[in-house]
Amino acid sequence: MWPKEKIPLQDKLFIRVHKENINPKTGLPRPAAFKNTPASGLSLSSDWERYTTPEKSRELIGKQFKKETTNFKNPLFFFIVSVIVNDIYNLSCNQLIEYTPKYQNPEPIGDPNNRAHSSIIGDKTDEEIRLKFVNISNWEIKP
Amino acid sequence: MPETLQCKYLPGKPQKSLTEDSYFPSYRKLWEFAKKAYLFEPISIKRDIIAFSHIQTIKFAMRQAVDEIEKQIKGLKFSFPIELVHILNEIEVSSNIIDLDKNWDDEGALQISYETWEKATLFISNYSKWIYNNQNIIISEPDIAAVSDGSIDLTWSSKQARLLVNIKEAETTASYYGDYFTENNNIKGNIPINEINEFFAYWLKVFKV
Repeated sequence: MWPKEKIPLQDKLFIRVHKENINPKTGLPRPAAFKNTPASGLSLSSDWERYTTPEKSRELIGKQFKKETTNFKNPLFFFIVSVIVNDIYNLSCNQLIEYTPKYQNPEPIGDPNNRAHSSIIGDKTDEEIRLKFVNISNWEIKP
Repeated sequence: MPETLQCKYLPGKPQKSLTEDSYFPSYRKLWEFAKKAYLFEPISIKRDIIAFSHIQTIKFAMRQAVDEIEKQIKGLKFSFPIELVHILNEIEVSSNIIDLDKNWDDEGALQISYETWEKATLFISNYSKWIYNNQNIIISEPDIAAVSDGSIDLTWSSKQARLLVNIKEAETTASYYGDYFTENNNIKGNIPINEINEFFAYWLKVFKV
């Protein structure tokens, strides 16, 4: 439905951060926020700024089912950070960024279409990359 | 009998609550220390306004003076020198993570096992006490956090440096990465959880209070 595109290096990606993944003392996302989703998966989901805003990105969370349930997520439990594509590549941690829009027809309940969906592909079990992600991220919707 | 400490204030200062820094520059510190150290239990505050002066009375119930604090948290007994009470407090706060349900992040996160939390607290306890006893250095408390794969992250951060240690349920070693926000002098690897690695301990001293 939506053609593949290359994400420019200077563009932002929005990443959701669950409330449990925020350090209450520093107010920063914890390194745990930058695990792949799911943790055993190959990539971390994000939304490309070209096709969404932080507010819309958060709103869409409320249309998704919680994992392995038919209950919707509460978007208020999530906050949004942005990272610049080039900053991810500069981490030198073997990450690849791909534009991966989600489209299904009919659109399943609990798994909405998302034109902005992008994937940060690569292993994130490593402490180095997760720790460095914290310092290249900036709050768009902060707690 | 509780000891009574009295503090007299200069007239003309604004009347604020006891915890206001501006009003209790020295007593607030004492109060905070007393609470943290469990040396005293604040039991009452009385305010009298006499003419143009404010007299504040703080009563503390004295407990025994102690060098070491012991506390039972989730069935585990911890014992720390009083100077490391902030570490003990952080461990106590972190005990909530073993109460998190499966799927706590709505994205399929695993539960954190008691054994993983026990290993993480042992790691912090061993290193903070070893550094204190051998180097006379007090390190700051790490942020102790659940990770969606069932492991626990310990994060130390300061203006100079950052360090992340990950404790996994099935492993006897902890994996770590630390740096000075540059590519130089970084550390990365695995260390046994139950033993002190002196090189790692040396690096941890960066986070002295």
